[in-house]
Amino acid sequence: MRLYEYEGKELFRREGIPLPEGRLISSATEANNIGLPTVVKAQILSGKRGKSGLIIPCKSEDELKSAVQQLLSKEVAGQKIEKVLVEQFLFDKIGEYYLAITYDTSTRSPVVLVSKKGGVAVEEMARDKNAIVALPINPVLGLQPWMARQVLSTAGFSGLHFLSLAKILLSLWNVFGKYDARLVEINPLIETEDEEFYAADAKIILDDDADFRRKEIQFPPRDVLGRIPTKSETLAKEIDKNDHRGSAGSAFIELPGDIAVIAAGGGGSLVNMDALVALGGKPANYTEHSGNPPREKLKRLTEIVLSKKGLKGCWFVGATANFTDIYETLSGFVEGLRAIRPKPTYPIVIRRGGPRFEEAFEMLREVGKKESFDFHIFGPDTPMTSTAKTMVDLVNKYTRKKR
Amino acid sequence: MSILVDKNTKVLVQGATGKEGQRAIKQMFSYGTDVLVGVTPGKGGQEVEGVPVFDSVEEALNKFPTVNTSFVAVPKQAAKDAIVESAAHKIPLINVLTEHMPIADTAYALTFANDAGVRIVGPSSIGIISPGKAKLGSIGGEDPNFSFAAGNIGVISKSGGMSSEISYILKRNGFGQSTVIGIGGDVIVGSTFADLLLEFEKDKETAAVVMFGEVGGTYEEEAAEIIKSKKFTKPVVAFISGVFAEMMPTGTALGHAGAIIESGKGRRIDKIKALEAAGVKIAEVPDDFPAILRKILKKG
Repeated sequence: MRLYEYEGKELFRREGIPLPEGRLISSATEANNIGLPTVVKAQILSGKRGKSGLIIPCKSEDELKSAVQQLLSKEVAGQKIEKVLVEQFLFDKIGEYYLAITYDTSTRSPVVLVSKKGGVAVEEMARDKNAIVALPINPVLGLQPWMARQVLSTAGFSGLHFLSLAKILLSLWNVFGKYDARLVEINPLIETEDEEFYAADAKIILDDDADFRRKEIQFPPRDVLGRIPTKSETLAKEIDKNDHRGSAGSAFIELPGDIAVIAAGGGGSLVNMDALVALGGKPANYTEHSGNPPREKLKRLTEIVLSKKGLKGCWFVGATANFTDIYETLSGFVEGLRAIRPKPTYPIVIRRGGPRFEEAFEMLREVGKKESFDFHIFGPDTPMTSTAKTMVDLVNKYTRKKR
Repeated sequence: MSILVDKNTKVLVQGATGKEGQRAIKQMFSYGTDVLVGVTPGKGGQEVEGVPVFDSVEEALNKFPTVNTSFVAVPKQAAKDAIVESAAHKIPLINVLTEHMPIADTAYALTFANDAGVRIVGPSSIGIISPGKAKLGSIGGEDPNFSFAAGNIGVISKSGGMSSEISYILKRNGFGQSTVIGIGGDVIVGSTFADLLLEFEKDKETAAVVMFGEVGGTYEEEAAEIIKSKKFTKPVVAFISGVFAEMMPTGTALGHAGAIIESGKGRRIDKIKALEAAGVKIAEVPDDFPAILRKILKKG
């Protein structure tokens, strides 16, 4: 989960990382008694806020009011700006630095990243190979004070201020570890004339898999864009809550297309989505299930996926399962399908293999015939991705017929 | 031959009394794998499918000193501790089924295991199978003979489901497998494509390797390095998914935790370019694997 700047700064504050003075507000009327000059920052989950005009410096009360009003009426990539952070403007800065800790897939460990040339996008910094110093951290040892000093000195810091920086870096390590972050980043860390430091920004991504350890602090749900989840997305995520038998719907993204997708397996789902979009098929959603979920979960997931209006097809697709019971999952699918009103007349393409798939197919054929669903059933001998073409062709035919 | 598991594999199951552990034990038995002992703290004295269960790895090893493999099927909250317990006792191969392990725990356990000279496969690994010899975990389910057959193709897959699907595609087209490994799709894993290619290089039975990769991370690129530098000299065919994933906004996690695009690194195109530059053939869809293999192996 990605945190907003103000949420990240709250974690920084708890671990003693110095911050500019600031106040979070959600209306222009709250913009009173704020020291000037100041800077107003839109709270959205996207980088490059400076370049997009979402960070506005203000010298007067009037400027401040109008900046707050302007930002709060804006929408960026589908996200409404609901809050702004009004912060002390640091006009006497003498340096902008970069500090971050994340995981490196190649060393398979945390890595500390330090640069003297902060204040620009990481991508830009990365162009100059010598601009960023990286130090992999042995997670059994953790970041030791001497390591913090070493990496900062390698990055070209020296003198007394580098000891203050080392302290900040160790606090950042505490945020990283204590809250199970996958990324913590300060860009820029501003140094002022009086040799004080301020974390001017905070970027934190928490590890969702460690939610169980983060009991004392909770953040409201959001998707990666900071978009509030759609109704279907919220409902789908509910399915796995408090029920650890397999998973269904935990990954669910609503999309603008007309082909409902119920895919299986983390890897296979993406292979199939690739095939569908390559053929110009327009998915109405992305979702997956795996790990042998019980039939109730599939019933619920099917109801949610097929509740969308204007569908022209449904694709239930997966590889040859290792242990997911195909009879159970497809029975759940049929139960969900029966609950949909009006009754779906669009083509339904099913491709699956694995435990009890033959029994499942027999059941499907019978249900299809008796209850007149337009089933097209394929087993493991039919290439999985070829059913994407079957689906797209059937949708086209269905659309022509309806016209 | 084969790699990692074979007729000499002697298994200890951590989390033996849990649902996943019980299922894996049953399936390993029916495939003829030697499961000697189980461990579940607090459940010592029980039995699962006739396998005695102990409270600690130490006790289990005292009674069954020939154990050479640990299969970890514990909940994610307990996974770090379980892996480190086996690694501390220098069990040479630890296969971790547990999904959704916190990345901090994975990093800790992998470092500890590496320092102990122990190999980890996983987390989020569906298992390992050397067809006709033995299997670890739930790979192939109750009927591995449906998807797998003994042969000379090595398979390394980030996806558990796709490891069976690919093997079935191969089998249907006359290609058996030497060993099939689900390495897991997490951001960091114990054994990468590159690590396992080095093992397959030593295996006389393996004539070629098939890789299933995904966007995110750098493990496919590292495999390309190993091949380019001639540390792996056999033919490799790869499939990399991610066309759809890359249409999603940066940072979207789909499928596997590792399938995340971060600041222009680990894209599908980067991986394909690196692999092709190393001479790896790329399959457009998994069903293209057999035709490509036929061509390569005939030439060879």
